[in-house]
Amino acid sequence: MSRSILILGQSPLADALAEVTEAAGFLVHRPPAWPDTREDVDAIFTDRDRREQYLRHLGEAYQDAEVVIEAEASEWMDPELPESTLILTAALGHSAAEAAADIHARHRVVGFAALPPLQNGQAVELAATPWTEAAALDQAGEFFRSLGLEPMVVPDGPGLVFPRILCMIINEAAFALMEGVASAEDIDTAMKLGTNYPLGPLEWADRIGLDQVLGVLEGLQAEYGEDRYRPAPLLRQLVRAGHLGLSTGRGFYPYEKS
Amino acid sequence: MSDRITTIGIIGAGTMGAGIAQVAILCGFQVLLYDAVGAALAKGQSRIAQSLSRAVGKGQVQADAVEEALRRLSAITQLTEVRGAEFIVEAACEDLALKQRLFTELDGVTDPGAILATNTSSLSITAIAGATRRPERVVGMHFFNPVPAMALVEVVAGPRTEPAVVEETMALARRLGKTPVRAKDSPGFIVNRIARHFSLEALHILGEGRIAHDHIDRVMKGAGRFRMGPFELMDLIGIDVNFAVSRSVFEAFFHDPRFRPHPIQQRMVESGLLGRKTGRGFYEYPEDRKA
Repeated sequence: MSRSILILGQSPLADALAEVTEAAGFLVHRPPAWPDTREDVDAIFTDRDRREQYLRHLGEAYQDAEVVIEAEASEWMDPELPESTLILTAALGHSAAEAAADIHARHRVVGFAALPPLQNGQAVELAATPWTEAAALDQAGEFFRSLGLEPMVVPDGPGLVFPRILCMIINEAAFALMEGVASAEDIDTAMKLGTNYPLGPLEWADRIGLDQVLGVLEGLQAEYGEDRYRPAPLLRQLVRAGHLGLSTGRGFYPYEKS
Repeated sequence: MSDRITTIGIIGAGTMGAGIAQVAILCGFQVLLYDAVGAALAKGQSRIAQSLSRAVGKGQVQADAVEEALRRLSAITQLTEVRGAEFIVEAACEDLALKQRLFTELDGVTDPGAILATNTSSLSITAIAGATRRPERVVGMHFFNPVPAMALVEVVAGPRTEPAVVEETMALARRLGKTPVRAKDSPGFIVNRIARHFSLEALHILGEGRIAHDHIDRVMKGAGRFRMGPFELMDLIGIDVNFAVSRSVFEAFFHDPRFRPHPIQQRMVESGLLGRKTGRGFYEYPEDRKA
């Protein structure tokens, strides 16, 4: 019996997770994005035809899925998931608790955070919600280990630890670029040579997805209500224009169409 | 264009000044090393000699190249003796008034064509340039510690710095084996500004009281592939140094909340827990503890 994973979301993280889970021998299902609007989501709860349409959209793998990964904030509902299904929600633009509140089987929800590129041996953060059962947290740890990733449990909140800190660094780089302090290349060179960052913040953002970075900052701003988390206007402008990074052929840098 | 530079005057024989001098003499430049304090000048020279002898021991450089290089180093006790230098790098204390006094003096002593560079990490190039009658020839040339090992140099232009001076400084940095980048005169330039959040945001997370500092460091190394975590890094550089830079950038940005330092830093500094150099910071370093 093949182990089946359902990955919801179209972000670079979703792509990276799909690659890593496939490489580990899982059967990965990635339904295209849907539903789009709050009305669509509500309809799934209230309208049986819409619900069946939704389940068909998710495919047969839905009921068989050992793990459902919500890699990008998506409005999806879990009418009648099997008790054994593990639900992993990316705690990037919001805390895991916020996502779990909307999910029926909230005791099976575990928050996680990782940023692409995903490499063997890399750590993945896990966060328990107020309702997460211990067995689910253990199962999440085992699952990530089977992908060659090292789980580390941290407190819940938007961006957990690493994405939160990195997005603040990226945001500052965006401010500096916007203000004309230095060119994008010089900013990235400086941070790699001056402080040994593995990647420059702007090229790192292009790999994560600028909309994902913006999501983390907005999540932090909403959670804490603090001005320190306000996103750089340049970041917002690029996301609005659809320049999300490598995946769209342009972010802070332009990329050759492959 | 920058081949006209054969002699570099270095003002300040501390860690940075000595490091810059060491790199310059190895790269074939004549260096005039100045410090107002005789003991500091002597210490700087011995630091250079020791560092170069370690490099010979590691096979990084030949002994005869070092001997030749050391002959290019002249310790000077009067500022007027930098007269012949085509390029000056000031690496004295991070004190604006002191730097301005030095620059006024250097302006009077050096050839009008000389470039006056400052290694300041946090002060305004513009404010320093204002102490001279040649602001167009004043530029920031910010090296990183330790100078022999760190490739980066931030070349910082004030609003009146001539583009040709920037380019000449970039070229000199390359002749010193460094990788220069161009930055506008702005608080923290590039690195000290953007890197603030590596420690500040980590402090905010720590301040929420739900996760320990060593766990944060493990996560940042494991998930982010950083060489060191934020708290290890603060201990290495000095919690007081990090706090001082944070405060400086915060002030310079007129209290923009992004840069607000954290009470945890202040308490650590007040209690004398500065990191490795005091044997204890966020972590303990029994081997570094003074008797």
